[in-house]
Amino acid sequence: MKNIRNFCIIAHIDHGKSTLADRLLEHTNTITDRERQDQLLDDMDLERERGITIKSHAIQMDYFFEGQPYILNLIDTPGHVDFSYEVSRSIASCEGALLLVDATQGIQAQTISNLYLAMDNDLEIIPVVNKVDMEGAMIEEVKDQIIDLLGCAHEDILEASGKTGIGIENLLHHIIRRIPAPKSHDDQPFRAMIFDSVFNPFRGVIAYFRIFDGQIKKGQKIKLFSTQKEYNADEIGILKLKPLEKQELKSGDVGYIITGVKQAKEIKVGDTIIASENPSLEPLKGFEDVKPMVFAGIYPIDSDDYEDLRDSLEKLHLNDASLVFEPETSIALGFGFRCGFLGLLHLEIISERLEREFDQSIIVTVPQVSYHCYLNKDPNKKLELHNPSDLPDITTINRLEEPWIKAQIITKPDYIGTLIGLCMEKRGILLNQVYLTTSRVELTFELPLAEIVFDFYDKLKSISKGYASFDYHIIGYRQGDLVKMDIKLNAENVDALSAMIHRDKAYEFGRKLCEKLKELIPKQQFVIAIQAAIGMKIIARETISAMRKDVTAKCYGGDISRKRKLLEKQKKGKKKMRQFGKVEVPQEAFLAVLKLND
Amino acid sequence: MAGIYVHIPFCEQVCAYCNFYFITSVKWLDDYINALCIDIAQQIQTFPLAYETLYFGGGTPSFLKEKHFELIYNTINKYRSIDSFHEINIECNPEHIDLAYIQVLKKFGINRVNLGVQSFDDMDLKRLKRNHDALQSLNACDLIATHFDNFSFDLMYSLPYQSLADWDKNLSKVLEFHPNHLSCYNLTLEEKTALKHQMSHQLKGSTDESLSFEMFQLLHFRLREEGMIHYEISNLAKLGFEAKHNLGYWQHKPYLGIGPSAHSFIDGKRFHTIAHVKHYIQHIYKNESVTEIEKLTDRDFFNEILLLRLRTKEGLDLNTLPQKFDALKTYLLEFFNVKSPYWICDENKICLTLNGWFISDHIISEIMLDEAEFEKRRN
Repeated sequence: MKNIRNFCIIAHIDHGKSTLADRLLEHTNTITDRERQDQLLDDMDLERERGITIKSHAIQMDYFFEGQPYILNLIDTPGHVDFSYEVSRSIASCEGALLLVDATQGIQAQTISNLYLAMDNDLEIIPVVNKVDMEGAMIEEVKDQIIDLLGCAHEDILEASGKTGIGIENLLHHIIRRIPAPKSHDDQPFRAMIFDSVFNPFRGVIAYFRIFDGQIKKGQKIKLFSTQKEYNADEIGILKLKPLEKQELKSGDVGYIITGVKQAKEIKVGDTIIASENPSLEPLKGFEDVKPMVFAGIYPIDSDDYEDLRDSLEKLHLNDASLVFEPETSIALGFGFRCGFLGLLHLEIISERLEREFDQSIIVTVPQVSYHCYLNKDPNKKLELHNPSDLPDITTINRLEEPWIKAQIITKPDYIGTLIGLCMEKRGILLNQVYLTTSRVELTFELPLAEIVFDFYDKLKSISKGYASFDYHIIGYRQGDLVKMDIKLNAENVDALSAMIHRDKAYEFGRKLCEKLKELIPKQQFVIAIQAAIGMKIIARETISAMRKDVTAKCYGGDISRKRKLLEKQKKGKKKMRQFGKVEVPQEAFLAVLKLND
Repeated sequence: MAGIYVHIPFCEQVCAYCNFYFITSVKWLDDYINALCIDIAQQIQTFPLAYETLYFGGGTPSFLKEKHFELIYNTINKYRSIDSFHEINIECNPEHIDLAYIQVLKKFGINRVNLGVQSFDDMDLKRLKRNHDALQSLNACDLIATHFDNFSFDLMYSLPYQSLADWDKNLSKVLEFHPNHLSCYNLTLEEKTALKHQMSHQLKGSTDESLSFEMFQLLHFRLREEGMIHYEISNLAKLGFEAKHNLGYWQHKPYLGIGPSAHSFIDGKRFHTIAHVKHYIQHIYKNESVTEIEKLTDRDFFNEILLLRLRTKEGLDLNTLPQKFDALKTYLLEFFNVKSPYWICDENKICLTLNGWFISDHIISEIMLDEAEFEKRRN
């Protein structure tokens, strides 16, 4: 076991993590050229397109160094703020971390928050400046940033290029020399931490784990600590490019287990696997039952597809336990599901997967956070609100609470003023402002989560011209002056467009939303009034005039066929619309709220 | 009853609003007419129908000289007596009309002339890139009105910079010739036309939809005072002067379309002729097929019925709907049997109003059915 090294790579999106991982696999002959595929670790289409690793994986490499065989387990980490808990479990499964920083970009917020996580877990950090071959690489400047941040020595920092392979061999040597071997606890009762799981339609849930104590044998009875439910270790093994079955795994090993569990939700990331016989009485630290914080309705465009949508959501849920859903009914949209997500990106990923992988045509309603509501009759009893239409009669409400986050923004000093302005406008409280280096500032804010659900990322990016990175975690619930804003089309409430909003923001929000809807709803045969209302009070209004012209002047013998096809196509476009009273509303309108401009 | 449409796909100049198929190289005309005659002969033999109307359309059919008419007529005469055609119609450009040409037309029994006037305003004609000026149009109108009973003038409205008063003036002008038929087209900005391009870049004016509708209303009511009936969205006529050939299109009567890009409709099938003059000529000489068949499904046919009938004043008479669509009557009545400013649904007859015609594409596309809906609703 002294020859095992478990490590992860901490990097910002696009800083070259996947490419570097590819090189490591090549240098250790873990993959042959024939198997080689760019960015091996990202195997979902979506991940490739977005350039981020959504679900973490692990891979084992064999490497000879100074005559000794070594096992290197690279545990990949997801790259987005919404998945910070999964990242924390991956980190907790390692003894070391490569801190990968793009030489052309410098350190970013997510890198820092993950670095702090790694340091909290006492990981050995090996800083690596990547993309040193690129034009515009600021190698020395970035090294200075790293030194400021870690307090390490200049010579501790490695240089590499995932693209050309520069420094990869050296990096492997440093991994072996600097990262400690796992501590030996072979004699202790078996304990392993699940850092990830995937769903396989034939095998059920495959859990990835890191063994901290003891050993596990194939066929052995095991339990999950949080539920104390017992399972059989039908198959265990290590993770080469493909899973490789083993009879036994020992402490320090990273591997997988298949128990025949069919539901991802049974096997939770962060949970501890223990043996049924002589079980450990202490779980490994850090297990949290991650709760979805952002909710939105997902509806089939064609109500006949409701069952199909349910099947698709169920399949996704098998794969991704952090997605939750329950049936709901909207007056406007009919039957659908209220779905809970870890964050906005998670929502986007799920809706894209529904459309692409499952071929579902869906409407996603205004996302909102999970609120707590307390009633006058029992001011201590907490009600969770996942949908504005569940809001009880306003006169019966004692108080409402909303989730708050602690957010870190790292940016160039030039943008501090406007970024602070943005966060203040979003009801933020500035906690701290630290110069990491002369050219990088870290801002720490407390913000209501609801404020970053709407148009926050886009604004952050445009204000900072892309030079700001952002990370957050939930810190708890606080009371807020929140109201429910309704949208009416020709005086009929469109419940799917209702939103919870802070009272001070309601007027501006209502005005912008009405303007946006006016843009998005096409002219129809009659005048359409769009109104925003709080209770009985109308706070904004726009009018869409009736359609005046949609006519083909010439329709003779040679025009008929083309014209028919054209009108059939026009009709097809309309199928994507929903009808409210007589008003037809296109799909995009339901997400208008996310695309409000100034 | 059936019609023959003969396409003459040549133009001297490209009109700014036109996206029809044509070429500007007239040097192919003689070759083309030879090929056309071969095609006509074959087609009439293949589809021996009771042809009653003959229509020369374009392009610019007034390019046709006496010798061309002779060739075409000789061909037709081999299989059908020219006398069996009650309506022989030709589209003409004003710059081609003189007494000599009128005599040619008369000689060949042409009894209906369609003159492409478009506007009596020289600025309009320039912007539309027409090859004639207002004076040439007036002279041509005069000659035609003198020598023909049955003639029609084409006008366009909703043009860039055109005011309601301008349109009124054009109508007054055209009425001086006491036409029995007028085709008045609301300018449609077709894709890939010079005008569409200009409208999105330099020109302004015809985007005002309210003004456009006022022009449409003016047309309707002014011509009604003259005793003309608005019998199709863009066509108005005194009783008995409706274009018989065109009525055939809207009533799903069979027709033979000959020439590049022309379509035929026979036995529930539509035939599309290749839209390329040179290839057309080559294929015909090599005795190769120049048409592609589009077989209309029941759904296609149903949608076409909606599209064509609702454009006419007669509207959609459910009693005359083919029996195989009986089950769809309920669907149509469900849709139309509500009070609306856009249509009148009386007993079993559905007609769009003036308001409805103006957004007819919207309404028609709304009621058209896709395959799945069609199957569901007919059963």
